[in-house]
Amino acid sequence: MASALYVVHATLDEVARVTKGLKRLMPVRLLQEDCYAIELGIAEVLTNIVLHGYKANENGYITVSWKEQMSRLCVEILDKGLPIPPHLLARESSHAFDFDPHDVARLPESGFGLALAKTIFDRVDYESINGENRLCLQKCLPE
Amino acid sequence: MEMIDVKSVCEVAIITLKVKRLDASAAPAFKQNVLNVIGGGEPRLVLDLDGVEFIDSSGLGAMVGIRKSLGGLGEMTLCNVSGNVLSLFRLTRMDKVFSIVANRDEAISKVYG
Repeated sequence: MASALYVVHATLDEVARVTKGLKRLMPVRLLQEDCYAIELGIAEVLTNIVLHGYKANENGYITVSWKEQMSRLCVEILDKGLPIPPHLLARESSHAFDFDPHDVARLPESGFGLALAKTIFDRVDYESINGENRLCLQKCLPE
Repeated sequence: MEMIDVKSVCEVAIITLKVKRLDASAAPAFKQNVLNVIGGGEPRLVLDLDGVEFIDSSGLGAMVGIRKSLGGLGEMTLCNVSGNVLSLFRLTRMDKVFSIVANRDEAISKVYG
C-alpha cells in the first residue's frame, strides 16, 4: 500500500507537481473518475493554502502526507499560513453550488475549493493549533 | 503567454487550449487570452477542450468569467469535454450554466444558432 511525503514551497507550480505525483499513487481499485476527483480535491485545498493561507507568499511551506490503508486513503496537509475561517469550515458544501444557473451576471467565479473537497472526500477534519494548520482528508476505498 | 489557438469558422471563434491542465496557475492567462478574442469582436465562441486532462475550480471560474463577459449578446459552447472534466461541471452544477456538446461540428451549429 502506497505512502508518500511531500514538503514543498507554497506555489501553484508545486501544487501541480504534487498532485500529478500523487496521481501515480492512486490505488488500482479506484475508478478513474474517483482518481480524478481525489486529484481535484487535493489540488483545490493546496491552491487555497497558496492563495489564501499564504497570500501567494512563496516563502511558505506545505507538507502533504499520503497513506493508503486497507479500507481508506488518508491525506494529511500541514501548513503555517492563515487558518481557514471557521465560518467557511462550518458552511454546508452545497451552499457553494447554490446559484441560479440562468442569472449569468451573478454566477460565482470562485469559492468552490473547500466545498469540492468536502464533497469529494468522505471525511474532512481540520484543526489549527499554535499557528499550524492540519487538514485531514479521508476517502473510503472499495474492497 | 499564449495559452490558446484561435481559428475562425463561419464567424465563430474556435478556441483550443495549448495546455493539458487548466488550473490556478494557468487560469488567469487563459481567461485574459480569451477576453482578448472577445474584445477583438468575436461574440460567438466554441471552447474545444480536446486534450485537456484536468480542470480545477480556478479554470472553471475563468470560464464563468468569460461567459459573463459575453453578456446577453454572445454565445459560448464547450465541446470535447472529457468524462473526468465533465464530472467537475456536474459536481458544481456548472453543467446547467454551460452548453456542452460532444464535438466541434455540433458546437459550431449550436453557437451559430
